[in-house]
Amino acid sequence: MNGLTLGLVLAAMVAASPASAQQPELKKWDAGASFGLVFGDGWYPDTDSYGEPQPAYHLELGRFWNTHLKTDTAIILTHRHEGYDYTTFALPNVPGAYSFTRHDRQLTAVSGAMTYQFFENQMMHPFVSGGLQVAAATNHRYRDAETYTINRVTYTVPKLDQRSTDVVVRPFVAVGAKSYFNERTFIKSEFSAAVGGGGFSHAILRLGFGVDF
Amino acid sequence: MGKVILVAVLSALLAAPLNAQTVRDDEAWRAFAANLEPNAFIKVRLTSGKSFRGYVVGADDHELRVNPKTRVAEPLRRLAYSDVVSIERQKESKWNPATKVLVGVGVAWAVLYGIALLAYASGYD
Repeated sequence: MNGLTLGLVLAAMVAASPASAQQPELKKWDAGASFGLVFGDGWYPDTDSYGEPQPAYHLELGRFWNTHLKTDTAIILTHRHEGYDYTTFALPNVPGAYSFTRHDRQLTAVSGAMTYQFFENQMMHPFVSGGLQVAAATNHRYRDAETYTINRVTYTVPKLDQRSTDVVVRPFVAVGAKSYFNERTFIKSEFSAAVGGGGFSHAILRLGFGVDF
Repeated sequence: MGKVILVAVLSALLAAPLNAQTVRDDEAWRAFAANLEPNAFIKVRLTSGKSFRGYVVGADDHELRVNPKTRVAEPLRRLAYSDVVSIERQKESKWNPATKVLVGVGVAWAVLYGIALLAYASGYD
């Protein structure tokens, strides 16, 4: 009987404790989709092309381990990008020999990261994040056989039809903020920068919507 | 004996302003809180170093009751005046952070688009 009484008293104390009263139920997961621009060609280290930003879409899922720490995973999808590579090469008696090669590129990547979110239970949470992006970078390079003339010297560039898929890994860091409309829905803004073997690889600036659940 | 008296006098001199300060702060915040109307938006800093914003629910001689402004609702906070470092009346923003981000991005996009249009119109392409 004494044990039962003690148990009831302890249960009542725990239920009425300030700690439990002060802790609201925060959602453990969040998910979202975002649109962004990729700056830099670091996914394709073997090519030399114009560096205009490319659109990228993120679908992401996060799991909170406590009020600050979260694991994030994302799928990154891009459009097929058509462009040109300008290649110079050495030929006897032909200074400045060059050719143009078309390329069609597409990138599909997954990323995993650990995120630290500042503040607790606020309408805006800045965060910092770091992790890895693993991408399958497909590249189709092709050109017809073409003849060029420079300084009255003619040379022929052979036909090319080359397909490759490279798996590349890029560590990245990110900063951003989750800004809430209400208790659960938010806008996520983020800037991330990734590095490769040769230093800076690419950066992504993105904005998207998400929900906690 | 003389040393003891000296120490006692010095202690009293040093402690007196601190005690007076504490009592005065308590009373000041009690009086300040009594003049806050219900639902006034305030920022409170506590002796623990933490601070938060919220809405006044009520105040009496013993405590100030504040409904904290959080994303997910939290219970009322009952604050003893001795725990209060400062109370500031605040002006509450009408827009939530997400709306501010959307407006900011919209304005930035409009400015960039406008510059591009002007450049195009002036023949610089």
